[in-house]
Amino acid sequence: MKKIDYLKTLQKELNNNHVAGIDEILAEYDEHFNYKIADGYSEEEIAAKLGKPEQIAAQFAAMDTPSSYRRGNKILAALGFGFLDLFIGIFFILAYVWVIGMGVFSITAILTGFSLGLNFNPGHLVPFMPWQSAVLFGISILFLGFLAALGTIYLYFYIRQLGKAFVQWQKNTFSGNMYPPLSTNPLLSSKARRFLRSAAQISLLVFGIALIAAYIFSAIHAGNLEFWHVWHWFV
Amino acid sequence: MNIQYKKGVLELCVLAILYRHDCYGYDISEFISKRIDISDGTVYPILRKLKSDGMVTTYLSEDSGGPPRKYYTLTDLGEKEFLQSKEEWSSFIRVVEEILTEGSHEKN
Repeated sequence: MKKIDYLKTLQKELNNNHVAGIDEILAEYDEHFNYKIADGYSEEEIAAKLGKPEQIAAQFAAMDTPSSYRRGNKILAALGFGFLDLFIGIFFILAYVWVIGMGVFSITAILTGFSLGLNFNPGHLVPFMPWQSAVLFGISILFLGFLAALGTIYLYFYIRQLGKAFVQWQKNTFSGNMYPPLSTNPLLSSKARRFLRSAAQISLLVFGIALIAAYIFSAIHAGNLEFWHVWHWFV
Repeated sequence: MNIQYKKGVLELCVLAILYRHDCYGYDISEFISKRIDISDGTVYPILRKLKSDGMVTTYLSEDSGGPPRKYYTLTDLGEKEFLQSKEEWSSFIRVVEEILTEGSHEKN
């Protein structure tokens, strides 16, 4: 195919596909021919290497039409996302505040656990109890703290991943699904996942056992199932 | 190689070439079609898409006395997009490589 035929066919095909800015495209291919001719290639050779004009036009059509006929939708989508982002933004801020709150709780629980177990009682904040009860309650609260800390870590990763997936989804809406959607679950290595899971199971188990043991011991020691009345805790 | 694989990667390649220096369309077409088995005409639709996405922009330059050449250059957005995509691509490739070469799967 000669250069002039190639460009004519290309023009016709682009027209059929309703591609905008045809002149600019034709100029680019015209230039391509000129460079190649200057390098000593024949027009037929160049045309063959370029690929069929029908296919080229189809490629332009595939890349062109979605963005141009959806431009109106895009503006609407952008507006919609503006509002959506406001609410989603609030949601993510709250979620992160929750993570921080949980983190503070876990640290407090861990400190409380240690101070109970080590019989450290600043300002007589801790009410009376026999030291065995204190140690058992201490262990229980300590592991509750660990459990909360693990939960905090997982929740942090989860919310971060959720945020990423949301951003990706928004980007996709604008780019015509260019990117694959992200999973909403955090991608932790199986080693980390295993560690988190077994650490959480152990923490839960120790927390439960120590709490029950503390209750049984305290009840026996006080001679009353509601031992806190005997020790005047909440007065 | 499967054409479906190449399609997505070509955009990244074009961005990479333009990240190094500004080029005219023919330059990019030549560079890529010498290395990857695609028809010469495939690069132009990609350039146009990148332009309509705001990743690249064009300017005319008359450097060698001849007719003005249309140069492509990365926009700030294109540069950002390239660096991010490059990062994503590298880690993706690493994982694919791992999956392909791994003899036994890590059990969950």
